[in-house]
Amino acid sequence: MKPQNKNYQDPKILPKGNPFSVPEGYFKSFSERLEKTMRTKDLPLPGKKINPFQRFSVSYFSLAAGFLAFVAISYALIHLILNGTSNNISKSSQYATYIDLQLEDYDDALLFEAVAQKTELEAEYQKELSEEKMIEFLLREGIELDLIINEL
Amino acid sequence: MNVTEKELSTLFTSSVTREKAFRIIVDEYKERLYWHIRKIVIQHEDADDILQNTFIKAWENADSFREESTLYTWLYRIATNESLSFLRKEKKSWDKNGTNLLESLESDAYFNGDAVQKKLQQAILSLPERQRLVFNMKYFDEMKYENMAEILELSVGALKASYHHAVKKIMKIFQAD
Repeated sequence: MKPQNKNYQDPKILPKGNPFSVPEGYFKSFSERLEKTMRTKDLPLPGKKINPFQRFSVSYFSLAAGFLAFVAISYALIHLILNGTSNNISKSSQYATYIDLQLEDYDDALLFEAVAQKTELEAEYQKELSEEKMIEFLLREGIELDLIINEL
Repeated sequence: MNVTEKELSTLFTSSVTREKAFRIIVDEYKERLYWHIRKIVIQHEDADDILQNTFIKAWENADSFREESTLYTWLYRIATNESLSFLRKEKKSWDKNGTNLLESLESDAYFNGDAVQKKLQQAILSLPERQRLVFNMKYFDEMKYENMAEILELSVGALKASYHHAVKKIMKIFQAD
């Protein structure tokens, strides 16, 4: 036999029974009372579905709100598109009218002359440019300016 | 219980079967948890409130239950924490009113123990909170140190030491008379 520690205190001499009691039927009715408490705290009860009306009404309102938002956005978009398009159309039609009016002031001969004039002017301009470049080139090559001008 | 604790844990962790599992859990564990709570808070009405809060907390935190610990250990831990929170909250009013758990024991309508049992309960109430818990769980609930360690989050060695000191103090009170 194992020698017992002299400091060992055997708690088995202490009473072990349960001195406490409960009201009659306490444990039997506990589940019901717990359910009642959970209902008070607005917790979804085990075994009970969420109030179907509550679920329906919540989704109904969100559906209605979504629909209204869709209608509002659609209206705004359509309004924007139509106004923008009509502006463009009116502008281009106005331009076309302007061109028509402008063109009516001219006969064919005048038009040809205008085109020719334009071409001559362009040619002159091009010519000037060519001479300028040539002079630059010659100066870079060391040819004196007096000599270049005499030759031209 | 027709299902094992392991099966019940699995049912409880699944959102599909949770509701059914919860009903079984309440039926299965309400008495054990109640007596554990009652020994801490003494008064029946307080124990009833805390027991309900324990199950409500378990329901609300079902998603956080990990099957690493057993269902009973998890529930026991919630019950212990709820009881200790209650005591800490009540202690403030006790300090103001001059009442305490000893007086609760005297006035408790649902205490049917004899003089020796009353003396034991008074001795237990004189212990520090942690020692009282350890003593109740070891002596009355006959819980293994390993399970206690999981519930109280203390080492087995610390629990053994705590129990030893608790017994020593109680025996001293008993042997003083």
